[in-house]
Amino acid sequence: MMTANPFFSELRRSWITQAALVIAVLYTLVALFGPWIAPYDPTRILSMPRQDPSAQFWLGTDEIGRDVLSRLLYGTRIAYVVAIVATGIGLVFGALLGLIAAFFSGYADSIIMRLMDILLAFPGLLLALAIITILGPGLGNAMIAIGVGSIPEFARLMRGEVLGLMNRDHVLAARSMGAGNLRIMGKHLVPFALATMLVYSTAQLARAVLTEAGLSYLGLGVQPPTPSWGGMIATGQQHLTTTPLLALIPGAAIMGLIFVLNILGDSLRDALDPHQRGLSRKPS
Amino acid sequence: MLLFALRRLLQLVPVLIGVLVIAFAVTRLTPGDPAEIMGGFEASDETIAAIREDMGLNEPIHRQFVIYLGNILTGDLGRSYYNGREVTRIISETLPRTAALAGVALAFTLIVGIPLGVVSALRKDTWIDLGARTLALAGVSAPPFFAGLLAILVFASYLRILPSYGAGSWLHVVLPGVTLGLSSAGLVMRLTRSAMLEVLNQNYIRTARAKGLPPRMVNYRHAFRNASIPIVTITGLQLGSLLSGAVLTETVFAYPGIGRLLVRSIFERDFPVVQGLILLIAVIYLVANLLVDLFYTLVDPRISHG
Repeated sequence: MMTANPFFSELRRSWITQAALVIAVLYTLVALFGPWIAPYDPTRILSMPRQDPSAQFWLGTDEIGRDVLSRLLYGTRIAYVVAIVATGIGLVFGALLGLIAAFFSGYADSIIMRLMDILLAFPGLLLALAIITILGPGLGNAMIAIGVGSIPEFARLMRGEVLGLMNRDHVLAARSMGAGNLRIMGKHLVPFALATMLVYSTAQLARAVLTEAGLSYLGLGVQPPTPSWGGMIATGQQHLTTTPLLALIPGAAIMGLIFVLNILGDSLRDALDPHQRGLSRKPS
Repeated sequence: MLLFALRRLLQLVPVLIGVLVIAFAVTRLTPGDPAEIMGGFEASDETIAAIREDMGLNEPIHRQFVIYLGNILTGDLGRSYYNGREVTRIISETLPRTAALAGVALAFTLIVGIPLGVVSALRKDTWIDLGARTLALAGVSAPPFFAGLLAILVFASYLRILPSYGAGSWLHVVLPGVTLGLSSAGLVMRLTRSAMLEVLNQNYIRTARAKGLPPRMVNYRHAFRNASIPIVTITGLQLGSLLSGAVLTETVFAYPGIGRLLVRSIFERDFPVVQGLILLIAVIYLVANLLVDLFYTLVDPRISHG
């Protein structure tokens, strides 16, 4: 099974990766403890609309007088919850379908992979928009829409991993000792494919955060008054020329998170891909 | 080559049928009766019954799908629930605007992404490389609704050199086009860099250098030409992302293309328009993928598709 060692050596080598990790941990702490750190109730009207940052309201107040900092902190948690649940949906269903396709091959493989091809025919946001059209806007439906959109890539990845593992000695040995299909899948295939799937999940998290923010910006994801980064940008945009901070603060929060998640994703890929490691060691 | 093209086309058929089923589901699985939506609040029961009959909604679902397929094949995507106009006409009015946007985005992607990637690879591990990679990562990480707002603030509000919203002149396409192309440009830069680095490590480049060829010739004639195949591939595949990315960019800039039409139609529950747009974007994406595959076989004879 793959070890985490290459990542740690990559981490030691690159100060950029170290900085990205620290920032990602900070974001995660904010997502975990946001409701306790937030100075006010994010849905309560506390003051006059669009107040500038002050000692009382560190990031000012929004278009109806709610505390921007509190909404931002709660919004971090929402972004994390949606991204983790959606990626979890993609991981569980995608891995299951990929496992079945590779293990049983034949018709099962053909049918499952053609279904995945159909889902892959909808680029970017499009599949999520089609699902939201059918299910209706909202937090839960956004998670389902984003999760379903990521199933095909998880399925393809799992299928490739399992196909590579099927002829390994330990799998052949288990089979020759009479192990059943479920035992082979559960004990000899899934644990060995898990590392790659989890690495891909971290890269998928960034995409899920972006998609959720996009859906909420369009008004099709998290619904008001629940705070969401995308929703905050959409309402802030209406006051862009007079109070630009209203849109720029949540925008910078999203971009910062995606930026560090992308750096960590790159480092993980470089660390786990021997080809990339070879490239980085060769003189240019 | 011809056989490969035919086989690829045949493989597209089940995917296309699947795409049609999903597009069909958009009008049939959504809550509410399409006939009631089309008839409006004040329609009598008789009117709704007539609309149901006219739309074929009394037929069994598989029969409805066959009718739908027949209509699609004759270029009939139905009529808008909202204003009764033909969906094909509505789409054909808005599509050229999005095509212009995608054109600017693609041009920006190529003009910025490729040179930045080449320079970054040639100056690997220098400050130029670090700066170019940071820029590319920022491009990939910036959501269009944030990059777009920054662009509006800088170029429309403060500098006042470009219009911020709407459509009308070619100037209106610049800001949304560049915003739409940011992510693709970042992606193409990163890919160009890694493709160039890979080629620069090959033996024939070392040989060319050892022969005493000038660096410019080695870098551009030998290295870049061979690195360009994956670059063209990823650029071709970006077309689909640009079309779906247009949904957000057009909303930010209130630009009246198919992306904004799609969002508006979802809110208005104008399902025939949603269905038509989903179908259109998916088909354009599939065709772009097919063309990229064919191009790949054409330019790189080492690739065997047996």
